[in-house]
Amino acid sequence: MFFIKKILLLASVYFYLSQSSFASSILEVDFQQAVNKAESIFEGEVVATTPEMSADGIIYTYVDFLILDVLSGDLNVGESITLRFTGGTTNGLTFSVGSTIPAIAEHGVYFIESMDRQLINPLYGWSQGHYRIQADGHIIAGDNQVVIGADKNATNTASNTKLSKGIATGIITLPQQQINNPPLAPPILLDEFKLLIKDVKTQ
Amino acid sequence: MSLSHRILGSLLLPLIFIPSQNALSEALGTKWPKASAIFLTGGLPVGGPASSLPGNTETWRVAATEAANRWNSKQSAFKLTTLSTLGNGVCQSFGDNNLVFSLTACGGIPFEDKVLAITASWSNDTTIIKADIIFNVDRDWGIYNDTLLYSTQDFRRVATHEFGHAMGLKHTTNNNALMFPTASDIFSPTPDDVESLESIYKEEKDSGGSITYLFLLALGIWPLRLISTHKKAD
Repeated sequence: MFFIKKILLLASVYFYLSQSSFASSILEVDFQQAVNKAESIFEGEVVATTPEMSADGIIYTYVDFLILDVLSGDLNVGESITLRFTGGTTNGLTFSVGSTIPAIAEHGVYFIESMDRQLINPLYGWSQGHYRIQADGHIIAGDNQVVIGADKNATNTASNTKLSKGIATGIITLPQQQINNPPLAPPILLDEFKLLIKDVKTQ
Repeated sequence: MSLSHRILGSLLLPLIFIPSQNALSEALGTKWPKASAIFLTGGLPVGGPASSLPGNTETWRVAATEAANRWNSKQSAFKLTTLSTLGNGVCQSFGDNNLVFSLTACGGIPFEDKVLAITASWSNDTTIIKADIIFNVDRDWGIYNDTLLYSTQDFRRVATHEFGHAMGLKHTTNNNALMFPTASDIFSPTPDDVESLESIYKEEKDSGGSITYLFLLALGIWPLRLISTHKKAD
């Protein structure tokens, strides 16, 4: 039993080492802010990722998204856009600033801060503007937990000092293993999440 | 269940879901090969902050050294050294490990408004080979202890937190830890932070045995000798 536990532990450590990370200090934003300040918000799918290294060893990953639905901004369904993320891996070298880079085939809802300006991470508030959609329709926020609700009116009262925990103020999440335990609320699904975004946008 | 019921239900959650107080900071998955690193602070300005806050009488470089020493004084698993010389290779994959104030992050990209500081690191596989800590010069910085001021960031507190990332720590869900992602009145590593760091750098010793262990098991060899060694190590 001890050996099996040890093997399972090693397997979980290996899995764990492959996860993305946070290694920078980003201020927390609230959901209202994220919706209203993002230049555009869309549902999309990652169709390609291309890492490139500059002469000084900075690696950027160019991520191509196919746009499936536009929730705000000047984008068109069916078109592809490319966003540049700082960080990535190429030729055995990994460069990281703690930014989570969307992976190939990822389906998600993305809040773009700016299409024109070069940013460390083009998503608003970094992982606070990054929501992955699982095959079961559940939405995974930047803290790697399942979104179960959102308080549209939540505001960040300590916006100058509160560091991001990966999710915007007002987004409520639970660990995957707890989501179906009553009396906790069930996960929010994609259509409901999109409706919330549109509601906040028109508020 | 309607959307409004879901929202209402989820608003009740903070009352019934209390995060674990024993959660350790997670490891980033990368670590330094020798459990030590030298950071150069010569890229920080000479002098200190202009504002007159309590404890705000020091220079940026001294504050950075104190930030490193806050870790060194709490544990022996990892040794941080600071030197006040000017390093080279800021935001490059080669050269020294640096602490600097800058208008831009690596690659000349302006800091986003919401970014206080970044720890940029380069690694081969899981081994960190270089790290720079870059502070957004556009924020209002001071140096002080105790109660956090909402108007001014405490440079030393953020530097201590970023050193945690530079050594390989991720954020924790324990709000009594320095590596909790909300700046608070905590300005020094707590037992949670120390235990997390020790777990990363103790791992090397343990995993060497464990990998050999798996290899022998895969060959169908029952590694009795290793078992007893491992038990001793535990």
